[in-house]
Amino acid sequence: MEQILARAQKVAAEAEVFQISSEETQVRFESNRLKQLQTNQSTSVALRIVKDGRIGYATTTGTSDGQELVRNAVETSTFGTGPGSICPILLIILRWPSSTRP
Amino acid sequence: MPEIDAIAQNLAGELKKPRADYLEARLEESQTSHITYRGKGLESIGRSTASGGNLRALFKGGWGFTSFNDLDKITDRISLAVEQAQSTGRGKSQLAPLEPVIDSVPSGVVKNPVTIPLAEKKQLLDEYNEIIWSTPQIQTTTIGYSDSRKKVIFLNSEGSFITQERADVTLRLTAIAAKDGEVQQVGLSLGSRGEFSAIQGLHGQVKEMASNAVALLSAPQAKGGEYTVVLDPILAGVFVHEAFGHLSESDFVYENDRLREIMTLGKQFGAAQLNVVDSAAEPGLRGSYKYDDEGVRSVKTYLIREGKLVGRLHSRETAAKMNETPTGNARAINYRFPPIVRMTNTYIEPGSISFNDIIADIKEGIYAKNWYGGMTSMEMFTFSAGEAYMIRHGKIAEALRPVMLTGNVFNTLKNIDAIGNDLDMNQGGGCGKAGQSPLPVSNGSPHIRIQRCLVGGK
Repeated sequence: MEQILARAQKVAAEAEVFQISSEETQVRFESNRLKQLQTNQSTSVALRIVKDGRIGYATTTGTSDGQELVRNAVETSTFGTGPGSICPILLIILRWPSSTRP
Repeated sequence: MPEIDAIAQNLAGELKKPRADYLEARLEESQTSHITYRGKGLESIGRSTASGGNLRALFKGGWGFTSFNDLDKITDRISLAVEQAQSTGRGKSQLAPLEPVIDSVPSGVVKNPVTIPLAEKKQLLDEYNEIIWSTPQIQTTTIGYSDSRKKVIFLNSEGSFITQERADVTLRLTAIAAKDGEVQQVGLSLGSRGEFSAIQGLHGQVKEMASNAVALLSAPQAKGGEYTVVLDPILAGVFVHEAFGHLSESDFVYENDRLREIMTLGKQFGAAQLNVVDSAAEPGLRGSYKYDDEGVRSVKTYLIREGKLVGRLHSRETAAKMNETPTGNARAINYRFPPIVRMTNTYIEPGSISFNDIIADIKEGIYAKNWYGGMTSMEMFTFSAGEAYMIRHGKIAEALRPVMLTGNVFNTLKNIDAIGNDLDMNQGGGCGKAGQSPLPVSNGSPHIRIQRCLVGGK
C-alpha cells in the first residue's frame, strides 16, 4: 500500500489508498445433499487522488504494484470534479466502491 | 502484477499429485472500463483491473471450491479445496471422460477495447446522448457502456492446459419520453465480442429510438385477446433463450423428476421446420469460445431438430449423471465462481419464408418487436415487447403501446407456423443465473409467426 501511495504522490497533489480483505465460506446443498463447500478470499485496493484540483479514482483486485492503478486514477481525474469543501471522511463513505462522479 | 503464466506452469505438476478424484485450476487476469449516464450528466466513469484464481476438487461426488486473489500461497489453497471436497463427498464421483487438451486461443480482436482512452469513448456516448436529448418530449435518458479484456488459464489433474483470451463490449441506451403524465420508453442494446466498432456510427439508430419513444406517447393500447403474432428476431431470440433455453440446462433437469419427464428426448415440441440450436462454436459472437471452463471443446448442439427435442446443455458432471455427451456449456462468469451449465449463442435456425410472406395472409394480428422485460416460471412465460404494431390485411399498420405476451412455452412452440429466412443475432444480452450475472451470451432468430398467442391489453 505504501508503494502505491508513494507512486501516486509523484503525480498527484493528494492521494489515499484504501484496502479491503475478506474471506468467506459458503455451504451448498443440492436436492437435500451436501454438494459443495466454497471459500472465497479477496483483497481489493482503491486509490483516490486529487490531481490539478480534480478527483480521480481506480480500483484493482488482487496483488498489484500500483503502476496501472495510478495510471487509471490519473485518467479518470480528467472527468472528476474538484474536492470542494466536503469532509474527506464523508467522501470515502459516499464514494466507495463506485467510481469517480462528476 | 504476478505473471499467471508462471504460476500455471508450477501448478501443472502440483495438480497431478493424487489427492482427489479430480482437481482443476483457473487463473485469470482482466481489465475493464465503464461509463454510465443518468440524464444529461455523467454518472460514473472508471477503470478496474483484477487478477486471481481458483481451485476446484472433486472427491466421492462432493466438490470443494476455493477462489483467491492472493497468488502467493497456492499450495495451501490446493489443500483447502481438497479438504473441502473430502468433507463433502459421501457418494461416487461422476464426470464424463475427456481427453486432455493443450492449447492457446488468442482473443481474435484487432484492437483491445479497454485500452481506448476513456475520453474517446465518452465523446461517442456524448454524441448519442445529445441526439436523444435533442428530440422534443424526451424526459430523460440512461446509458450504460462497458468493456473488458480477459485472459484465463485452465489446467486440471488430467493434464489439460488451456490459455484463452477474450474481449467484450456492451452498450445499452434508453430514451424515456413523457407528456401529460404518460411515460414511455424505448431501449437499444448492442454488444460485440470485443470490437469497439460495433457500437460506433449508431447515430441514425439512436435518433430513431428517441423518436419511437415519443411516438409511443400517442399510440393506442392493444385490445387484449388471442392474436396471430409475429415476433422480430430480437424478441424471438429472447423467447427462445428465456422460455425454452433455460429448461435445456441439465443442472435444472437431472434431479428434477417432473422436468426430466417434460424434457424427454424425442418428444415432438414443434413443427418439422423448427430447429433450435445452442452453439459456442459459432465464431465471433458474444457467447462464443473454443473451450468451456472445464476445458471441454465447444460444439453446435441441436436442442430441437425438425420439431423434436434432441439435446440439452451439459457440464461434465450432468452429462455423466444423465449418461449423455458433454456439450461444453460449463461456464463461470469469473474466477470467484465455479462453472455451471449456461447457454452461449442460442437461436432458431432460419427457414425459407420472407417477412412479407409471413404477414401476407394475416387479416388482423400483432407485430411485436424488441425486448423490454419479462419472466419465466418453469414452462410459463410473460414477456413485454419493446414496440408493437397492428398487422391489418397483410400490412404493418398503426403503432401500439408495447404489449405483453404470455403463455406456455410448449404450446407456443407448437403454434409457431412460419419461420422466416432472416436470422439475426442479438448481441446486447447478458444472462444471470445462480448469482453469476451478466454472462456474455447472444440469442437470435428469424421473424417467426405464432398462432393463437395471448396478448394483454384493454
